[in-house]
Amino acid sequence: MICEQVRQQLAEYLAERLETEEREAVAAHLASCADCHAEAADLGEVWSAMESLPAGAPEAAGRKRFLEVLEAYQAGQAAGPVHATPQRAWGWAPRAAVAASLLIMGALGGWRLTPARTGGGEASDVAQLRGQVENLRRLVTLSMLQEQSASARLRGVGYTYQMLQPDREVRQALLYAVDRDSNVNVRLSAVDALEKSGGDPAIRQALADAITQQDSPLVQVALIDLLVEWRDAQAGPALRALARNPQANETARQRAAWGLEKLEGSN
Amino acid sequence: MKRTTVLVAALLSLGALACAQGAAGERIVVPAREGAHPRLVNVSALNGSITVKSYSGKDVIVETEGAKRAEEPAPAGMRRIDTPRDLEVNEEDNTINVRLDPPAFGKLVISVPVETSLKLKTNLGPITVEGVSGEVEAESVNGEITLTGVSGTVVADSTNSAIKVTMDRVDPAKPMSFSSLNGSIDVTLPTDRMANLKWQTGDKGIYLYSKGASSGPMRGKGRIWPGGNVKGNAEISFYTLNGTIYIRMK
Repeated sequence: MICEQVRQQLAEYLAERLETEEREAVAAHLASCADCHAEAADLGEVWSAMESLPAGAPEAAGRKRFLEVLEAYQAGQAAGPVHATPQRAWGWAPRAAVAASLLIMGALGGWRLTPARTGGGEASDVAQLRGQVENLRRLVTLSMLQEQSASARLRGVGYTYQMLQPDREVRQALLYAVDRDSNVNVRLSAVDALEKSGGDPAIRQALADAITQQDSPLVQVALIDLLVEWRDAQAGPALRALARNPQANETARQRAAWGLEKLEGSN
Repeated sequence: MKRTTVLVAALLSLGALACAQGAAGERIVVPAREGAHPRLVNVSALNGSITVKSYSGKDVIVETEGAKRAEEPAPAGMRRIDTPRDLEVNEEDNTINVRLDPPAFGKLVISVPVETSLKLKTNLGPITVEGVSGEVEAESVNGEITLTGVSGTVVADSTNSAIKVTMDRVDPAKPMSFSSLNGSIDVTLPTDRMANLKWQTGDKGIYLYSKGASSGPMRGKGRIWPGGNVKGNAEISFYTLNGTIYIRMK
């Protein structure tokens, strides 16, 4: 069984909709092909995360949001709709994620049933499918960051590692977690996840601002280390303020003084 | 959603909970309920210690020891007619909230069915959990966190004290995380097949014990996959600055 055939069947394989013979053939191929196994694991994670999402109660805006997702899909926008209000814009994510998943499964089914396909068309479809999976992962991430359970929020942060480049809304959600999450471990994980967003000056400034707002010295230390790693001169005032604050934790103050010294030494 | 709020003052009249108060402390029984959500016990004891242990029963039993506040004398010629309480217990949709208010420095002992998730928070006291299966969150500023025979997932933070965790079973799909600014973190995991480990340490570093072999100390940031990088398995993260991290694979 060749890889392309297997990848066409992955969605149905994960949804346990294949006949026994086909299922066994796919399983045998996955056992012997590392690339397809990785692809299946990747897709399986998103499937699994969707299963863990709570079934939200219907709300009045649900239909409008579903239509927004549908419209975006039809327009072929891999990034999906971002028309919600800026504040807590990802509140509709669980329902949208389910809607998007149904659309993707429909697309997969239709794609598989199409008899004649050219090589270029397949490549394009695979790229489109990957774009949809990326968008789905993004929706699941935004939804999980709002879960009550710290472990679920950590899982949401973890999904951002698998994104090629988290978009603005995901980065905002991570910043929100750094600033506001009630759990220190989730905040630390969000700081880690923002490490690859150092090219964005707004992110660097927001993390510098977060230093003096934190009540956890360990998160303060993580922020200082990251900004020093980025050699971010914008962080100077925040580090100075923390180093001079007699009310602050002594370890965090010392780390801020150390960071300030490093930044001044590198400029 | 049916809301059931039970305050201590109304317990006896409602008959929903059984409450007793003796010289040693208070005892409140929250009856079992088949809720839409798994059972969660959410505890806040700002100055007290928290001990949670599993038992074979179905109810949640909340007991205090020594949680007494200093009584202000009644004004001359008057008598206080209510009973001052530091402990408040309420239940909503299978989430049981337990609050031990300051200035009570007492000990809170909670007995729960094995399948129970916990969210535990205190400032000064230690947190101890035994034999629970579920999602456990524990947070203490100055108290040690000791979790023994726990299954499921753990997310724990103690700013200034040690964290010691022994797990019987973990959910490989759910991440766990342990952090302490000044304390050591000592975690024993049941197997090395499911663990994708990530850490950030200070000078004292991290030690790994697996299958009779040990490695370490490793310092700074790092990642390791003792059983191979199993895609789909969640990460277990460890953060400390001034403590030592010990990870032991059974």
